[in-house]
Amino acid sequence: MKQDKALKKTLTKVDPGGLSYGFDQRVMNAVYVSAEKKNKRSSVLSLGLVSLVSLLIIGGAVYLINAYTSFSLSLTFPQIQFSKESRNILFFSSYIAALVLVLLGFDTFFRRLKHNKEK
Amino acid sequence: MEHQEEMKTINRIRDGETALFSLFLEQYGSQVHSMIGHIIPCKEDAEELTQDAFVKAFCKLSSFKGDCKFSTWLYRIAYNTAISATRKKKIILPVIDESIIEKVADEAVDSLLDQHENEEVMVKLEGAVNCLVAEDKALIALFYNEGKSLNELSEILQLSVSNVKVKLHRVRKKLYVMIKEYKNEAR
Repeated sequence: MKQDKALKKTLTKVDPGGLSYGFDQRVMNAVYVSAEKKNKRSSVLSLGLVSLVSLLIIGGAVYLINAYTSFSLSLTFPQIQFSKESRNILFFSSYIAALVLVLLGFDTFFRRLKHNKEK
Repeated sequence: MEHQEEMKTINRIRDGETALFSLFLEQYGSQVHSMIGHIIPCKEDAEELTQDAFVKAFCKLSSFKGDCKFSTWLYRIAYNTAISATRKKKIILPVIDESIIEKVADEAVDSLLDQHENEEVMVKLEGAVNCLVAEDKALIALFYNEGKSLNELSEILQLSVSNVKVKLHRVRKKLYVMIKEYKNEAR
């Protein structure tokens, strides 16, 4: 395997030449797509994992409370009685809270719409 | 780009700076394409496989441990991608008897493969290279065209260094036999 000049020359001749115009851009687009997929997959996985762990903790807690403590989940809660005045205040507060929520919802909706149009 | 600098860039890509991957694309794009082009003769297919190799490399970037050069790791992915593509297409290539290859003297091969000014040899050599199996084409392209060392070749092809040496010798002998057979056929 001294020089093999003939072989080197032949292989240079067979060389496919340069890449076509816009190749780098095409590859980077494919890379961005796969990066996005990867991110989505990992966020779905972590959300699933968190949900599973939460369910396990809740299930375990319920089991432990039922099996090892005298606490009963069917305890009767004391009845709450509202006076007429406090009932009015409660209705008014609920109305204001609902209004705020609706307005916030509209705000988010229109912001998203504007953002998508700008894109 | 030095190894440490490459590792820093890779870590930044892993942390979400995807755009930095274009640095590797700029640096190794043509080389990887050249290697694949020697295995896959169709220009469009070679370019598509180069793209596949880079996307695969990006997806597997978390598994790159840095125990070898990034280029070696990338070449390994590109080599495997190209070889898998050739396996899908069944091409019938000439088979040379092992006993004939073993009989060929090293000096004869050295002398023939050095005749770069002999037009007849060059034409026959080109034909012989085209008749090699994909793995052999990749081996000689990486060694002669890309200038890869035996150690790098052993990492890319996942073979031992001595195995790579043996394979290289055998490919050269195969080429010699093919050229001689062409000569005999011509007579």
